[in-house]
Amino acid sequence: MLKALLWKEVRDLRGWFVLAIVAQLYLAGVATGLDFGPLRAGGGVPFVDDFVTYYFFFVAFVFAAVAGLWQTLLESLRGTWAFLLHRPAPRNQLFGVKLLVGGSATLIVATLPVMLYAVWAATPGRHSSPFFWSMSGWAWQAAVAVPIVYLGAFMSGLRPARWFGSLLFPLAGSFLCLVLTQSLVATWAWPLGVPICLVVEALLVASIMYVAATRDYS
Amino acid sequence: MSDPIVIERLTKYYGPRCVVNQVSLRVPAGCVYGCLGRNGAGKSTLIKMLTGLVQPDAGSATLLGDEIADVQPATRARIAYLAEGHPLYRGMTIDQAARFTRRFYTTWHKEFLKDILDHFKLSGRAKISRLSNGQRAQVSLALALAPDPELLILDDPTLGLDTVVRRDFLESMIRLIQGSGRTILLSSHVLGDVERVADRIGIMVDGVLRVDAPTEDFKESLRRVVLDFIGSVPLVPAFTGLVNQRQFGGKLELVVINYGEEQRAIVEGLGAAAIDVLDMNLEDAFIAYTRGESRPLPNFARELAPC
Repeated sequence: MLKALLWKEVRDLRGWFVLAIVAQLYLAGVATGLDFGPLRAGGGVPFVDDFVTYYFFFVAFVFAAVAGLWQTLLESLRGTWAFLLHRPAPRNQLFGVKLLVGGSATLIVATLPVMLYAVWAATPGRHSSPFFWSMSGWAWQAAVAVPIVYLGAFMSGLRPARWFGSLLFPLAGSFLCLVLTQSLVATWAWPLGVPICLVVEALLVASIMYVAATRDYS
Repeated sequence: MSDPIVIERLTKYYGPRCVVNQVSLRVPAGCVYGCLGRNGAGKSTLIKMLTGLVQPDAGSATLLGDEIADVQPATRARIAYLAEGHPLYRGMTIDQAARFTRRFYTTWHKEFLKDILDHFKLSGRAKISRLSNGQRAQVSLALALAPDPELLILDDPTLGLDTVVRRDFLESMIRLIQGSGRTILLSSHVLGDVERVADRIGIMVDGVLRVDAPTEDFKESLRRVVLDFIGSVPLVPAFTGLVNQRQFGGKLELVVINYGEEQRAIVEGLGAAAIDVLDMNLEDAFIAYTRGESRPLPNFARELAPC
């Protein structure tokens, strides 16, 4: 049963996932000196003085928002909630698998380019500036925070709303939450960055499970 | 053992509007129950409450003994639900949809599924997105029957199908489920669909279950009383059993349930020149029940004018 659910969710998301991974691989290539396409690396210090890392997160945020909305709005548009939710499985399991697949895909899209770039930067002889793993710390923290956007988008797609603007409240709220946590982390709570993100994500997951159990699928 | 479906005063509001109003009914084992009503009468909402897709505001219900708010997966596996519009994952082929669905069930009759698909001349390799509405309805029915459910809940299964496909689908459905002892709750706004299969019918009007009776009893208990008046038509006082009244010029047509001595005395007291008491077929009875308040029909002068 879990395998079937996993297969279905992977199947639903695979197109966007492949697109995002291709974009991230291209950006990682640009960051490591690939001379192809419209972007060129600035030649600055990796993770400290370069712009490409920000593109990693732009792609990750877009993917996170699309994935969350896709997994929920698609079911609404196709009218398949009735089919899915009548399967003999606990509702939290049906939604848990959705979140597991979407969250994992988001984390992969967010962390893969950071990892590739960091490994490249840590390899001696690749560039002329010094590199310590701690220099990539903020990027890892930001990658862990990307699922906040995914969960906000998921909530936006799941929560019934009267109009398009209010539908997007949770997504907008999650962006705000992301900015706040990252500002907090950057100013005085650096070691708490990952735990804070995990707490926010856990709260969002709990809210999603509550809405999933109590909303009307009419 | 309790009845497979027991509903007690189930109520649902959308905003200030009560779409299902204190509906109570029981569907005994082996019964085919037809829930009738016009579009927007509350049939789908009632069914969605039963299947857990919509939360009731008041009342309670059980399906195969489980409270609807807490239907266990093992119980849900014994209930088939065909949702309105036959939603299926359109990116899948029929085989993929069957593989996906069967993983949830401990009982799965693969051969039976194949037989049904063969009967409908459907290939397992066909993509669901390329199927017609009628074919998707057939796939839904096949997938719903493969786990051998005890209870079937069908929400307007012929909605959107043309007359021929609808007839074929219904005949196939009857063939597939008849004699199996399954309990079936079928909603429809097409009276003919229900009349052909249901042992018992319920008629919903504006969220209220107005009729809950064996189909034959319902048909036999209704009479159309046509009164001819010379001069003006008097106002009819409300009386027990009066379902509907319509006026056509000097004629007054009353629809009365359980037409007996009491009703006859009231009708005769209206002073009509002639009174005809006629039987009604189910369609006329259904229309009389669901039409609501009707105004006297206007004279369509253009249509009546000689050529």
